[in-house]
Amino acid sequence: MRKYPLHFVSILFFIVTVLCSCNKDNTGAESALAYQMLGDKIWYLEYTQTTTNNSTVSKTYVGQSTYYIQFLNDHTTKDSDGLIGTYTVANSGAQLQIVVNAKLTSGITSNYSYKVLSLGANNMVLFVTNGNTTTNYYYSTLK
Amino acid sequence: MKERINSKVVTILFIVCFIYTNINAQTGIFTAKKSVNQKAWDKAFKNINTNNLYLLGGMNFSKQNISMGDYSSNFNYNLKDYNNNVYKPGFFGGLRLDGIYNHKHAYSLEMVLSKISTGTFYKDGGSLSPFIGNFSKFKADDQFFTLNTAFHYKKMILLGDTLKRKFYLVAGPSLETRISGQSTDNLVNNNYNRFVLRGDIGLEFDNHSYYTLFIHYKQGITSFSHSPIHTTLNSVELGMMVKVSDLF
Repeated sequence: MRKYPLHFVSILFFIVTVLCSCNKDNTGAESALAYQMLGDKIWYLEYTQTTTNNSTVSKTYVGQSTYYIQFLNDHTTKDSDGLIGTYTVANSGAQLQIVVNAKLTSGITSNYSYKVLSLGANNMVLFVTNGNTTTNYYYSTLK
Repeated sequence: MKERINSKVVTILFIVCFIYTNINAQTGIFTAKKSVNQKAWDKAFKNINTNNLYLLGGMNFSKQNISMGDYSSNFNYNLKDYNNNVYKPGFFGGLRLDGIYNHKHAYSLEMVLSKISTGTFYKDGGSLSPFIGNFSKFKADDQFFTLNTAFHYKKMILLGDTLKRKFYLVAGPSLETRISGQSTDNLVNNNYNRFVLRGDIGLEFDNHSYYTLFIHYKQGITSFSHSPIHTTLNSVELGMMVKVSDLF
């Protein structure tokens, strides 16, 4: 009877030790989550914000015919401009990027990338910096 | 890295202690050591009496209160889909050892496996203007499988005929070890801790020693998530326990 406490402590110690020794590798988790968020959805451009030297110009496309891009789970993409191709999510440091390699039916290629400011299940903010001008693109899956 | 080194040290210590105290002391080389250990052991536990082993089980209702601080990530979550200030049901089962220290102080040691489902209450959200709504950069996991180890100090409440029915007020610390993995959302930044310490207070009703009914409230003391996110896990537990010797 008296040895019950020792058994309790021993079992606990053993389990805790085993758990502490198991460290799951989380390499690639961020890209995997990004693909999960993007995949099998059509993203509609709702707003743009262009900032140059602390001056911001906003445009809204809500309720209008607007640009859209579709990302599929097989990593292919097509958009409202007729570009069809593939996309990848690249992770450079802490910065996620969506890289698109696409071409028109006429054969003209278009390779571009956007940096991810924020990515969600239904809302996405991408941005491009060109010199001292940064443009944010606000996409939503809800038309 | 530091965690791995610590775990290795703990492993080695555990193995050494285990071999030293439990496995064998029959060979000549250990004979002298055994008597020393045995004396120390007997001395340490000489005041522990009346150990009863119980089987326990029941339901828990849990909630996480979440403050995100200045947590940053590349992802957003619309809080209208995730924010719910409720306690959600789960269940638990395990073993408990009740005893009396020095013929005066009633205590219990408990080891329980819990399936926890939690409501998630976000105290602070952020904006993703011009999108409308309240957004978070952190999505709390709401399903956990944990191993809980608790120590309780028990105090009998003098109410009615204590020879037949006993009421106890119990209180003590509870160390919860997360056994389940994290969701992909939290694996990205390894947001959840492996351990969380909670304070446990409860009321227990022992009916003729046939069975004991109990209700416990557990309040998170340490955060379940890494800084700067602060996650307090609170639970209410309702359960019953019976002596193992009565069952088997």
